Amino acid sequence: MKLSEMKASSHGTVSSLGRDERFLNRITSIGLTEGARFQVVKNDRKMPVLVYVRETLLALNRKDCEKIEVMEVRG
Amino acid sequence: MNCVALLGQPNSGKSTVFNQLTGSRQHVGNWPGKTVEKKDGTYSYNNAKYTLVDLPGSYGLSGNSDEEIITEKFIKGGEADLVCVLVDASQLERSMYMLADFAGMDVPAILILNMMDVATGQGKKIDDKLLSERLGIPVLPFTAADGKGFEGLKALIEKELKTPHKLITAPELGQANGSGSADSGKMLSDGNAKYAWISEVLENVTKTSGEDYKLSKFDNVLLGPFWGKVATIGIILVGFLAAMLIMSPFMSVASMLPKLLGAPIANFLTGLHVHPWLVSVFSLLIPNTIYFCISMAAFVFGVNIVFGFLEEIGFLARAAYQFDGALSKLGLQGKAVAPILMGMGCTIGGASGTRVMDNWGQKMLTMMVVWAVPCASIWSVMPVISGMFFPAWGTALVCLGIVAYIFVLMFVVSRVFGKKLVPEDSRSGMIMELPPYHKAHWKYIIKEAWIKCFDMFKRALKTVTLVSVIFWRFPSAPPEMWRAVFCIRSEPLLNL
Repeated sequence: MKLSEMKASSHGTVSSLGRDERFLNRITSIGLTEGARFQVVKNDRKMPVLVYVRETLLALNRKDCEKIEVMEVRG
Repeated sequence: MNCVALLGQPNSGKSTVFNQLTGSRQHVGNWPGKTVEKKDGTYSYNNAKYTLVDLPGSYGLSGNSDEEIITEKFIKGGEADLVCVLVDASQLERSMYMLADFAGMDVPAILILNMMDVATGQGKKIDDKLLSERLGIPVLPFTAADGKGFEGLKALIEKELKTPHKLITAPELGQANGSGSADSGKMLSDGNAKYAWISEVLENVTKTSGEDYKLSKFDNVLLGPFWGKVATIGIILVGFLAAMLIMSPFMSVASMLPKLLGAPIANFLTGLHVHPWLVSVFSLLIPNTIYFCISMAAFVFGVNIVFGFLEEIGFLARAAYQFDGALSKLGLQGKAVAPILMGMGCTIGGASGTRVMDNWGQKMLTMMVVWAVPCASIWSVMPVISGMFFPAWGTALVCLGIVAYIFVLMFVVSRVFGKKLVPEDSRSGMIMELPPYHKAHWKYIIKEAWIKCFDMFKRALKTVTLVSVIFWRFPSAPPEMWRAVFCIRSEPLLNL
């Protein structure tokens, strides 16, 4: 599923960040890598998605989140 | 000459360290052939002079933007005798990414663990001695914003320039994992290798809590889709009131200058039989120019104190989150909210606030949009002047029309210039950290605002003097004419 479809306070791991190098560079340097485990903190309609990863709270543009493939992890 | 370079991600407090070390001995220019701002400065310690270079803000050194290419070239070129790598101690794992990127370079370095006060406040402990042992370079726990540890930092830089240390460990890069194109595959595996290296280096140095993040009650409101926007706008309006309170004493004192100084100087000089031409220079031109420049600088001072405070406590990042959607329609991203809002107080402040933008194109586009935003004095002139010509309902209509026109103007500007300045394929949405709420360091905020305001005063003095001289020599314009022209922008505020 896409990161933008995850519900608030659910957990997941990143399966694919896409292949756009510029985006990959930015997103990696701020803490999101393939395989990284994260928590979705807030996901409201038309708003950036708030993701907690590597002890950092990140706000990610909604359109960008539609390009990130994730797997939900329960428990 | 001892050349020291500062390297760190945008939120690492790099500019705080730079400003505190160099004070006003700074020079801002451009990197040769590039539209990237170059900041360098000097400071003295134990009778030796040091040059400090603030490397352009980037998240890594992978050569994906002009900023990163410049930084990489500068370090590899060996121009810096020592590189100070800054990381945020409260988010050590993530912010060590810059060090992981730097690790491949064969240059002496020290590591500064900045924002130790925040890390300590979160109950985090960092074993800096163990970290230093593993890295092979000195590690300095630091809090730049409280301005205290700088003697220690200067002493460490002095020592390291004499007996330099280089990193003894680096991530293993270059193992492509076969997926995707060669470049993106390498980038992905390198990214993982860097974080693996970081975990290795940080093992037993600090504990990473695996706890979930919980939004505070305040954040739940502030980040909400509707009430959050209302609260954000409310807080900013209160901020503007505070900015006006801060600047009003300076402005009212300055406004008295022409009246207080004009007549006595004129009388005194006329008594000495000085040529009337010179009398009017000293009694009219100079006091009025100074008055106008002080007013402008006071604007910048007030707006910068308030926005410095809002930024430091972590509010501006949340405002950027709120307005990312609206601003992306203009081809900008959430971060542009700060300069645009500052522009409502003072256009100069807003234009100088565009330095937070990621690249030159976005910076220019934001600046153009800031111009469309009326500043505080225009907000007050609008109803006053339209009130002279129209009845109350007409005044309201005119003001509404102007506000609507502002939005149209912003839209047109972004359509006309947006494609060129921020090409579609280079548009990047907001990827931004929402920092934990910090305590404000007032001394630092005031000092920063003072540096900006003094800089503004100097620039204004040059421009205003030139313009006043032109108006003043204008044969058909009586002296009151140019005075009125310059005062009209600031006068209404004094009467608030």
